[in-house]
Amino acid sequence: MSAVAASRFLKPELLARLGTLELVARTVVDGVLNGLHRSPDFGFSQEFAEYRAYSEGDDLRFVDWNVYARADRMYVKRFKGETNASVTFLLDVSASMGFGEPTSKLDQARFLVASLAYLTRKQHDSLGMALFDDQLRDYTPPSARPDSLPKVLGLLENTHVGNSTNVVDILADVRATLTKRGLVVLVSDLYTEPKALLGSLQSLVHAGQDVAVFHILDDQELRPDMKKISALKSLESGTSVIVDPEYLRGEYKERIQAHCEQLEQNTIKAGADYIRLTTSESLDSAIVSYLQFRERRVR
Amino acid sequence: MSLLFPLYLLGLLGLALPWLLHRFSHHEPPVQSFPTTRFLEPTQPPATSKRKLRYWLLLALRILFLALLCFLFAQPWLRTQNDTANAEAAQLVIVDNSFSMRAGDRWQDAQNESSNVLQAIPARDAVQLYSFASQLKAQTQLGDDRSSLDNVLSAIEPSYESADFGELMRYLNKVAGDIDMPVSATFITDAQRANLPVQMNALLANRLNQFTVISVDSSSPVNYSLRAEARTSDAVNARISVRLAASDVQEPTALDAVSKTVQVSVKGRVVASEAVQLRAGEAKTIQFDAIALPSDSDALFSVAFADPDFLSDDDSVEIPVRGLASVDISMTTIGAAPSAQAQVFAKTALETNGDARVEILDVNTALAPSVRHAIVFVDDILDVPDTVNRFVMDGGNVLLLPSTINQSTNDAVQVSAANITKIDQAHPLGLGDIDWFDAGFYTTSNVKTTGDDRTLLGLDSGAPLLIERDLIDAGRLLMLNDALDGYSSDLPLQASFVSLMQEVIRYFNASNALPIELEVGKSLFLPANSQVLTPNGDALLELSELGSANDVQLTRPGVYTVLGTNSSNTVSAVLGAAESNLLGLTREELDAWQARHDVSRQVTASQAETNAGVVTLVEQPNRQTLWHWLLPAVLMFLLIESLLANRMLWVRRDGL
Repeated sequence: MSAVAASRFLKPELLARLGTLELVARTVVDGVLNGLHRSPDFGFSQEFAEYRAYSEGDDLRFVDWNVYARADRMYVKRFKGETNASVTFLLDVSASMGFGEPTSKLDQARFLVASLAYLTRKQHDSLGMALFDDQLRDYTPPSARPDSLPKVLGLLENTHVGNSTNVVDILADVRATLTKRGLVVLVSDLYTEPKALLGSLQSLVHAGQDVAVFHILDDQELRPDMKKISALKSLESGTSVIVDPEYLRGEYKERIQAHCEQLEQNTIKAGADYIRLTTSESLDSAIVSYLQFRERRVR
Repeated sequence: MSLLFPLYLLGLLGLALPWLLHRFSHHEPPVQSFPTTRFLEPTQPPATSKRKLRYWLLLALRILFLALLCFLFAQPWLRTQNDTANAEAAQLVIVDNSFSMRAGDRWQDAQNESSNVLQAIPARDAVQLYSFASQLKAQTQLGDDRSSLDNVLSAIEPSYESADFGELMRYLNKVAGDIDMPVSATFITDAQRANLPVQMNALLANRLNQFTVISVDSSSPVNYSLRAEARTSDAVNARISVRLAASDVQEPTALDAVSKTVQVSVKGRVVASEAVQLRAGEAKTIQFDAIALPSDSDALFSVAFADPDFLSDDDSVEIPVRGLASVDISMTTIGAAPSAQAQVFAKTALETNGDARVEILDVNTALAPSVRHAIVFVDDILDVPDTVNRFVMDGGNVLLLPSTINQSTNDAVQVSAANITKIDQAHPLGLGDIDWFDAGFYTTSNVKTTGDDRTLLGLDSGAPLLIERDLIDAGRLLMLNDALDGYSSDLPLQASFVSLMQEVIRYFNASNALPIELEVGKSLFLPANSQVLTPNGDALLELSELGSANDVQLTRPGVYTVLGTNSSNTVSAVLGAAESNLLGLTREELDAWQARHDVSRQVTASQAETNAGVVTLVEQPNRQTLWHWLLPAVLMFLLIESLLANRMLWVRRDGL
């Protein structure tokens, strides 16, 4: 299946019909991987770590046939990257994430996190997740146990939008919590000061974490198509501002664009990866970006 | 343009409402959710100290809409006849063309007077010409055009109908109410006293501003008229009754009796004659007995004065012979034979007036298929034999009588001279008009009626006497609870029994019921699918009217023939007796009649409003209502307003 064909199945509005997040994740990840015509080991560390007795379901390509010829037993080779990668997803569930029609930013973020979590477990990495708005609401520390994926998916299924955002404090809390090096994936609409974000990301990177930032946005907040004067009510603060459509078509677009560019620059400056994703885009490019990120970071 | 309800224009005060709404309206902008307001800047309101009026087009549309709505409720109308637009008053000229106007030179005089009246009407007034006999008929439209009036006037013919001055005033009141200007009426008539209504109040038409009566009754010689009737009971000889009348006169000196010879003729041949002395105002009845019926059954007797007077149309009549078309009734018995008296009593009563011919059949003889009416003696009237049931279901009519009064059962009740106390007056038999006082019942069977039975006559003992069984899509089934033997009751010995039997004949024969005679001008209600032939033999109804015409108006005297599906009947159209009495009103009485309308102009406004309902009874022929133009306009404005409002009334750009 080609990449184009695969992405056809990854449209957010189609994913929303699939039902459970597990099915969404499988559809997304398997579709992307098949479309790439690449080895599922893409991004794996090739440094040998140990042998493990073959069990049913293991890929036969990893069977060490030399050992089998000698010992008449099947062993599977395991590599270093498979054992020590610890991935923690930080999902912003603040009120502003509820924006977007027909797929909200939170829905798109849940699809993304579920897919990446599935991919993480497929690669036998430890999986953890934190949900936050202005404070940490749910936190599952990274774990390589088989039930880590269902636990994360369960949290995602039941989550809903909360209050305002406080990314900076949350990143500080997470940094204090994570004692082991690993990958930190931040999924948020990033309504915070770019400078403050830069500081938080830098401290997280300095603590040994490899950070990827997925910036989730909706087309209506990037390019509003409002036709008449309306009162726009903030989802987080509740304040209303009566706005002229002409302003939204002009100065507002410049402002939000400048904000996004500033965020991207600061993220990269902090040593993290920056991936922007809108609610109308399919997830395949985001998955590929994540795989590239993991390939670079996991050693 | 005029308004029916101008008070609704007060609603125009509401036109300020849209202006106020536009002036002070405040629109809240729609609220939408947005992730954050940190990059938004509020729109700045314009620096103005007072509110501005906006959306001028919409405001104009709304004001126009309200104004049209007010006019719609006020119901404007236009007079469509342009020739009356400049008229100051309406002049109605009414010519009496009732039958009495045929006397002498009255009609010529009336036309001359009418012509004079028309010429004397001022040019600024609108004129309308009417004729009046039994109804007020417009001969022209209301207008200023006088060119055709003379031609129309000369084309009017005196009719054979009777006039009623009360009806005239009622019609005039309606017409005057429909004209939106002062109305004066001039009535050219012979002013017959006999045409006055029963109640003098009916002579008042309070919508007329002026009413003038011009009498053409110069001299009133005595007019002699006659009416006649021929009846046979044996289909061989006829008895002709002639009622003669001489009209009244004003002068009491003209009381000398005049000898008038009455002749009866058939096909131009005089078969009998008699001289009668008549004084003015006197009426006499003479009879010609044993006049042999003509061989031709359709031939009519002609009864006339030998010397016609100045009103010759009421001096002769043509009359058919009544009694020839009698109803055939079969009398039979099922079961025990009745008493001999019972059959005689019933047969005699039925044939008394010659309207029925009764054939007595032997016991248990079946009814012939052609028989439509039957008297059947049975053992028990409520136990209807199957043959009788089938006969009735096929459309036949039956009167059931008990052969004997059964006194052996427990139901037999001995009654000592019970009387009829319960009478169903609503039944078409007309039992309420018969005097039942003398009928006494000594022995009756206390029969038990069922739910389908309707008791038409009942005794004070509770026993039913005359019962009708309700049958759908069938003939009529009457049951008389009396043996007619002369012992159990004296009913067959009373005059009321004859009346009852006559009513039964009429009831059985109701499908062909037509009046024997009808006054000229009245409508004759026809049985279904009937054709009417005039006295000249011409068909009155067109082919297309045959299935749908319910009635026809008889416009001239004579014998009309009504041809039904299976029958042929004659109806005599006779002149109204009052029209032959030419005695006129005095000048003082006419002045008093006119003066009533001088008073009527002083009616109070409340009285005028009370009578306002009468005006609208007739649709105005010259009034063009405008609501059907205004209503689409109102709806169109409403539609445009809705469209514009949806497009224009967004949030104001200043956000306030």
